[in-house]
Amino acid sequence: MKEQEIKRTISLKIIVAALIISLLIFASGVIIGLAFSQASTNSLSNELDSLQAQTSFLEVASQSNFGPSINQTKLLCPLYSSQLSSFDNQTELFRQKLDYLIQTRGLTDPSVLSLQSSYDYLQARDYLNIKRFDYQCGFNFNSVLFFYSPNCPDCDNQLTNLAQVKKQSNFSVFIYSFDGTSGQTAVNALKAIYNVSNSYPVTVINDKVLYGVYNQSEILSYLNQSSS
Amino acid sequence: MIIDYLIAFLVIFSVVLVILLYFLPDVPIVIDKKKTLPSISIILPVYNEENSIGQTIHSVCNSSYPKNSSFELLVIDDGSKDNTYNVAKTIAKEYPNKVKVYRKENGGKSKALNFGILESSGQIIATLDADCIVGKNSIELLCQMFSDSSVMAATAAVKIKEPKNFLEKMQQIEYLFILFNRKLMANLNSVNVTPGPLSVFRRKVFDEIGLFDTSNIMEDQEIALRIQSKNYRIVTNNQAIVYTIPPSTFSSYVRQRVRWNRGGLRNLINYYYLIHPNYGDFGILIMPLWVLSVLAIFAVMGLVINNIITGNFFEFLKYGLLIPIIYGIGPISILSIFSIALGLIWTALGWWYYNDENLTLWNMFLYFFIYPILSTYVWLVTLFKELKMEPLKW
Repeated sequence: MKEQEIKRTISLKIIVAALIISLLIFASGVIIGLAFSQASTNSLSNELDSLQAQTSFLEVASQSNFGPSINQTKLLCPLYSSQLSSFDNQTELFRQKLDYLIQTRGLTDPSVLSLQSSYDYLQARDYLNIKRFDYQCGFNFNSVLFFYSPNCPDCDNQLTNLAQVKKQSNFSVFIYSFDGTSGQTAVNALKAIYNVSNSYPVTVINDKVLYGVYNQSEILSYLNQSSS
Repeated sequence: MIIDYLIAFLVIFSVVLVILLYFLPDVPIVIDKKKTLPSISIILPVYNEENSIGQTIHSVCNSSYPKNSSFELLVIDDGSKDNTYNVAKTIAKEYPNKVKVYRKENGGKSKALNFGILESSGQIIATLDADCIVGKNSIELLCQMFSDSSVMAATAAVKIKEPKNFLEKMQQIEYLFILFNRKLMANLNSVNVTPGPLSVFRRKVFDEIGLFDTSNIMEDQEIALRIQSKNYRIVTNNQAIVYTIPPSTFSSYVRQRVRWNRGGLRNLINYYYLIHPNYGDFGILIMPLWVLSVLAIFAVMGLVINNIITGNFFEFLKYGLLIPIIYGIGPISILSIFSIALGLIWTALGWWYYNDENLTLWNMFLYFFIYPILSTYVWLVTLFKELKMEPLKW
């Protein structure tokens, strides 16, 4: 060692202290972050429960027998009609939040997958409700079922076109979209009702089954046909 | 993604380490003020500096270096195309036997420095930049440190005086934080750059490890790494001030910083072998952190570019602000908040340390939140030039 070379030292105490403090901060951050994640999932879950409860009430009410002196149709039809738009907005907002969670956490997250399944079930019930009330009350709602598969560019295009039509429509258009490959009971049941094959995208406009991508004017023309 | 967690941990660890180092006592340097200061040669390479050379020469010659110690200033005109040489010759007449002016054909700063070193006679060699103003007692303070025989190089406190615009103000604060970090690194004998504006070396350093690398655009960093590779000691004195003129336009700022980045990357690659316990704290802490921080910068840039190219970035915009804020809080966002908080603590420590520098809270806020955007842009340009394999130049 030359005269002016210095003896190198390793400040182990500082390094260990820094490591321990960093690990504590890191662990705290992870724990707090996971708590927030869980809280947002719980919040969405509560929101979904509330939506389920709204759907449940009207569903049960429409199926109950109040006796010959009570005109159910007269009572429930206006109620259903008045809350439909608001309910649709609430479910749309919920869908955006759920979409965001799926984008950020993925469907491999069990809590997100559970929310998606419950949301699909809610949509299926809501679709059946709208069909029932449409029949019972003589409404002329336009209900659209949309089946897609993951990583399907045509499906993204078709969904975009449907969303644009919903925005532009002069009449009510209610869109219910499902991952046709999810294997869920509610989704399979809906596919079975319309005899839908696994060739996505599939759009069911007022009970008419359409395969492939349709532009906005084509979709509008099918909706018009169904209305008239 | 795991890489997000790794980057978060790295940032937290780096800042925690720096904060802990702040509370370490300074490593003592044995200064014998009674001892006669060694003879010093100050090498001043110049190129097209006819407007600033005068104030630099005057600031050096009017410094407080004791009269009984030998002192010479060698001005090396590196083939200037303006009147620099004649201006220097005229001023040199005011300081007979102190200032010598040489002229050589243009070959770059390192060659000019080496020329001066070979012409010099001092036991201590200082290197100086032409647009700098040396504090009255800076040279004396730096030379006093060499009474400690373990000191082989000493760095001054490079500062910016009277910034004229926002960019210069940000650089002023940045330079103060560089000094702050260097003070902490000196306690670990891990100073990794001997800044061009003013650094002082024992002549023995050049005799043993050679002169400045003329092919290197960050020669001041390269020589510091070479000194570290020999286990020699580099110290810093934050009272020995030298004022420099920073780039005042955005384009000149980017040009300078891209040069620093590209030169720094090459030095890092050439001296990767210093990542070794043989080099103590420098080898197992500072060098690895330097490597990891560069990798982290590229990783983050890669992630951002990938998100923009794949459209993921624009996908998230469709959710507005509220949904991501409420539903996007998770481990990574909390760790990011913690990292920012630690960074604020470090900034506050630096602000308190430099409480005589009149740094306002507003300027600190801008430095902490806005200046990193400029740095990110500089790194993007660096990456672009590296991928294009553009030749290195000053």
